[in-house]
Amino acid sequence: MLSFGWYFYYGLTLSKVNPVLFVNRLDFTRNILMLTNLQGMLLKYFWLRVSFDVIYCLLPILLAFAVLKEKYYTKWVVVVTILYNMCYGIFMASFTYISLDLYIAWFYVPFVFYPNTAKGYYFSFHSIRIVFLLIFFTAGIWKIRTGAIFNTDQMSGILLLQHKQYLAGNPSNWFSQLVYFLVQHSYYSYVLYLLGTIAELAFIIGFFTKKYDKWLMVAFLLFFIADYFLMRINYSNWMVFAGLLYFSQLKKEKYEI
Amino acid sequence: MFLKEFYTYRPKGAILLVAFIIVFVFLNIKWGAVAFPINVYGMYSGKYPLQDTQWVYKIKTGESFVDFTSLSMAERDKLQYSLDFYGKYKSNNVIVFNTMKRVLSTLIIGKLMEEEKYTPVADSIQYARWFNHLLSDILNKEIHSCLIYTQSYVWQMNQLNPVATPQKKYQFVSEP
Repeated sequence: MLSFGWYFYYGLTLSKVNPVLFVNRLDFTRNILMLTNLQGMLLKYFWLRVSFDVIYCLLPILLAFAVLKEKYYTKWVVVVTILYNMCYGIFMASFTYISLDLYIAWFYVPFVFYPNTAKGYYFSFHSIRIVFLLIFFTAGIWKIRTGAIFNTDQMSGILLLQHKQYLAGNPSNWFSQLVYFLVQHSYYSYVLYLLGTIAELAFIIGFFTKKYDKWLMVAFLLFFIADYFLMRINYSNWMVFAGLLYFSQLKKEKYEI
Repeated sequence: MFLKEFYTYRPKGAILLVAFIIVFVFLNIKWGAVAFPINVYGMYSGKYPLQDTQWVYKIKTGESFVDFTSLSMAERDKLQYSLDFYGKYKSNNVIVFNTMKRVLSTLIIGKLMEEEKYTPVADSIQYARWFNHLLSDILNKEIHSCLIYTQSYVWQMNQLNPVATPQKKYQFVSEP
């Protein structure tokens, strides 16, 4: 709800954006979904955009209610939430600048609540935890594969691209001074990038042991904070992933294993 | 081991998880089209040379230019990326449609893809109205006309310097 509130406040919901065009991507799921022409209907009908937002906001509440009250229809709510969040994310990413990556948390996490036994919950929880670890670990691998990690100007170039519109305005406040300092002193900014990559690669540890999950969670939270304050990217949708690392060390006995 | 335990408990679930990981790794190695939720999560893995020319928008309403530094991060992004999208969406959508149709033509899905669903063109008057409305919301004043310029910048002598004169890119006029 908090995350949705941020997007709503800044007019980044379907009903507030009121889009007139969309940008497609080389994504099989997106293109198959577009066979329904939902994108055309969303462009056309305001009531449909409002309905999409309302349902997107209400489904997690319904899911929480169903899980806490152990309702017989919980599985159905989970499946609907997963599919619906996928559609919502795909269309939001088509109509706005928000990356589809930011919506994956609300796609994956409901899977955790699909089973109706303690044992099943244990396995689904850890399956999603593995997927999350994989996402972060491959982000680190990509930086090696593209050679980005070997470019000492990398973070300076990223900061320049990310804040060009801001820096061109030539403000003299602390934030612009900070960005300017980091761009000018490539080695400092490169250290940030290097540490970020090392943290991403460190997520491989999670495949073998849960012992260091709290540390991985700290790395994840630092990533979230740095992205918000330095890169000005809001990853609040991903905060729910932190729970996968926080609760991962509950004893197996609790799940009757 | 988790996978072994999972397999003992629910073989189908464990196989599904392993299959997911394999497809995830495969699509990452393949480095092309993706299939949500399997994506390439690069997180700034591309190369961003400091020497690249940076294109910056300048928006003129009346006699003054919009001060991007006074806007919130979301407002700044909304203006910047809306203009980026407008500049590329037509050609981008046509390229994506042709590529996906070709790839999916081996399945029935490709034959069901209709071009008009994938490549609708926004009416320029409609877009002008939409953009002016966005600008009005952000600046908190009524705007019915604006000029968009692009200005190139390069990183030289340890600072961001403008090069050449700004070029007029769009003019958005909408009815009051």
